[in-house]
Amino acid sequence: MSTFDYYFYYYSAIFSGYPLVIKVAIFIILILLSLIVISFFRFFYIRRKQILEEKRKRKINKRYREKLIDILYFSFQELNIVDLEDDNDLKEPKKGWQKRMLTYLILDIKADKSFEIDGGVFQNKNYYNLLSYTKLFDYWVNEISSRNTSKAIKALRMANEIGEGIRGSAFSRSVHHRNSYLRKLARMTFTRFDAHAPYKFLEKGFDSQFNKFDERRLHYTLIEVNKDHPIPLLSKWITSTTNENYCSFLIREMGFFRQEEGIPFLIELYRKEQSQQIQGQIMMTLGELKYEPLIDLIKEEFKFASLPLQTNMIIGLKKLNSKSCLPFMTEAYYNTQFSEIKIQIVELLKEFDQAGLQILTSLSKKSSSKFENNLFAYALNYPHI
Amino acid sequence: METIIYFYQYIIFFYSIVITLAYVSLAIIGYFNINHKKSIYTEIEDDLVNNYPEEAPGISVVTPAYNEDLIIIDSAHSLLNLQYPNFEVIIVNDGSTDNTLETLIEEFDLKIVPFPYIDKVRCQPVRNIYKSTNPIYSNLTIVDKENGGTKADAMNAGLNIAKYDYFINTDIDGLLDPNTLAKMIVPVLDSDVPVIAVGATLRMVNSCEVDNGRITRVRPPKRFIPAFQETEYLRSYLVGKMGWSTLNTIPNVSGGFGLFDTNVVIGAGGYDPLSQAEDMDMTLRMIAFMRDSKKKYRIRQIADTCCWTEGPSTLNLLYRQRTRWGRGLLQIFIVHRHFLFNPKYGRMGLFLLPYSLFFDFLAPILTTVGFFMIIFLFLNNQINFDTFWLLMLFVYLIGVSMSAVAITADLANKKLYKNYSEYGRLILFSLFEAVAYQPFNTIFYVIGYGQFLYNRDFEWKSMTRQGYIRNTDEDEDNDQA
Repeated sequence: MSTFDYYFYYYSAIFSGYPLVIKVAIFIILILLSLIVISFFRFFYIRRKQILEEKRKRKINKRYREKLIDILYFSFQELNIVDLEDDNDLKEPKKGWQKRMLTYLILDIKADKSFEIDGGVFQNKNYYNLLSYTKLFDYWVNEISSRNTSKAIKALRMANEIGEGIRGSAFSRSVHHRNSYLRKLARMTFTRFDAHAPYKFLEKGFDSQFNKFDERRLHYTLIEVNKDHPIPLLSKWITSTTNENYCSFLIREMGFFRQEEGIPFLIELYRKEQSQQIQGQIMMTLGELKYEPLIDLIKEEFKFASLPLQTNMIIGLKKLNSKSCLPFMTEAYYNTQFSEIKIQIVELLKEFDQAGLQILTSLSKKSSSKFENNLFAYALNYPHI
Repeated sequence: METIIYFYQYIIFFYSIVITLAYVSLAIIGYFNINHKKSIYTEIEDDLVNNYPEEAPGISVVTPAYNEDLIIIDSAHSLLNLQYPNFEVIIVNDGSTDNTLETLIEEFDLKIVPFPYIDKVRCQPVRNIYKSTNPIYSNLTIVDKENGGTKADAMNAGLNIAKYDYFINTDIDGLLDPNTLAKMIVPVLDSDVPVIAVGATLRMVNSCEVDNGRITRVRPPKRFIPAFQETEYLRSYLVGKMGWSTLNTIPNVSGGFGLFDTNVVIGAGGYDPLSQAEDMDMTLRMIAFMRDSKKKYRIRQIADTCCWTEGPSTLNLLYRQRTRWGRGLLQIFIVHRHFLFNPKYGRMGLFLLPYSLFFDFLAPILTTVGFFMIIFLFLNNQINFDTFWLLMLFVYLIGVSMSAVAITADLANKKLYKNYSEYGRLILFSLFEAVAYQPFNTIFYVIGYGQFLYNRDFEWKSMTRQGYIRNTDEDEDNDQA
């Protein structure tokens, strides 16, 4: 019998003789001690990892930084892959951490505008040739397919940061991933980079978990897409979705991309739509599109609208920025029962300088409460505070 | 008597087991939550909100001040220097008797304006509203009101003029990380269900270096009590609340720092001026409001440290703080007793409040009774020392293990201290917390319960400030003088 077996059986015999309470206590103590030991290991592991990252970063900086600045800003000529291969100072990184660190360094240098101030010009072709030569594209594309969700998310971020050169097929697995964050990010990246069917997900309602933050990200994705080829009329995808957030997003983007041809659709949608969120967004988009008859539409509806909808109507008029709305402002002021809306109307009137101030002055003469007195005194006497 | 003692021992034993299992579960859930959030929220997300003003929802930063003449300027500058494209700062002077208001008027060129004030939630009368004539402070508003006796009353006055859909509730002595507002709003935007409140990690400013209202060097507190508190806060936020956040059962978004949905807070009636624990009271009423309105909601917690606050550095100050928390906790269970075990309030009624009742409220009472019982048993030679040490070790390890988990989670999330030895210092302190800090904490809570039951009047007092290390030229000049 080995020493280990001897002590194991010895302590087991002692342990089995204890009452249940003590057995449970020992069990819990072992769990807690394990937690402490695991935490200590984790602490030292993180420490080691952080120190190593710093060391590697310094190493990559020392080896590549000067050379990269020269290639990306001060070479003033196109360096193709063969030229880069011939350069003995620029060795292709082999290890994963080297590729990661090198990508961060290249992106840092790319984002640093001080080199342009010093007379450098960013060499776009050299940038892409450099990424091809160092095989950084391939590295990140491989990482996107990783089974580790965090790695895949990181790789997608890098793909977006790098800019171009990644095909939509690289995301084929991620766009249907069960992790919603990874899935949505992959779909956005697909929309940005796929050459054949970039609007595939926009057509299908994008994602069932589309939220306000995705709106912002997709907005900037569409701006990038629109740089290469104008995006199609977005109204055609509104009817194919039941997600209010996504529907509102598309309507908002119609305003941003100035899709005036979609106005009749929006008016029709406003009349039959039940959702206040969508109705409110339509009001704002029509204002953004400088649709003058919006004033008449608001006149019809304003009195019966809820506080959020009235707010969106006023924002719509603010975006419209037309003096034609001024006569309606007095009517709107008296028709609203919400103090918040009265404040917004006064704020809007202030933007029309003299014409607006006249209306403000006439409204102030009929003010009947302390709130209204303060509202007009503040607007008229302290317009810039 | 023997039967009572016998049963009590068993109750305490099983109580400790349940609380340990709850903590271990929270630590595991919190671990996954922190890792998940770390992988999805980076500087890219913050930049998306920070760099595009039209995309950033407006946030009102509301902070009450009562006799804070010494720190008001630093604090106001700290708030005005936040990096966010769309925010306003509202400082509510709650009838200070020192020169708080005059100092603000002088520093920011303030002028009384006839502001269109709307009484959405009740508070003591507002005397005047001030705005700065200097355009660079156009987003600063000072509300001067009659003293309401509580922070809640002052917060309500701030809410009545807050113009944005979200507001930050913070204490005037809290120094915020410049990127705080973006970090707080991202979880609100990144959710398919309305997020009504977001909490973040708070820690002690006591030994940090501060330059013009900004933290330039983070350090663990040098003094004992704030150092114990630093670990206590990390445990509470990184183990407790990060775990609860996953289950959408955060019982309390801290009154020291938190982001709230303005309309939900107003809909729930605003802060209760009579509450001693206005933060937990508000969180519970917000949940009740959403449940009553049959609306889905989420309350989120982020692991990042967004706010540094000055912790009590002496026993006397700790006594004041913890007795107030004790009074507040007891008041919560009396005022909101109808939520307890009420299925109408979902997880809050069936799980969250009962948990808080048994493991937050009862813990100081059971500990105190247990302490006296040990003395009684010791005097009567009824303690079996062969197993006694084992049970004491069990209780001791609960705190130490959770501290170790929390400190490691903090390092994993973001390395804030310059040296790893400073984390080691916190770990070292956590070894002594059970004997050097928790007994006082427990006693102060029990005293707080007693004070509440004897119905003494309590008003919020300005804190006696120890101060932190300020790196300003002015200070250097003063030192030389």
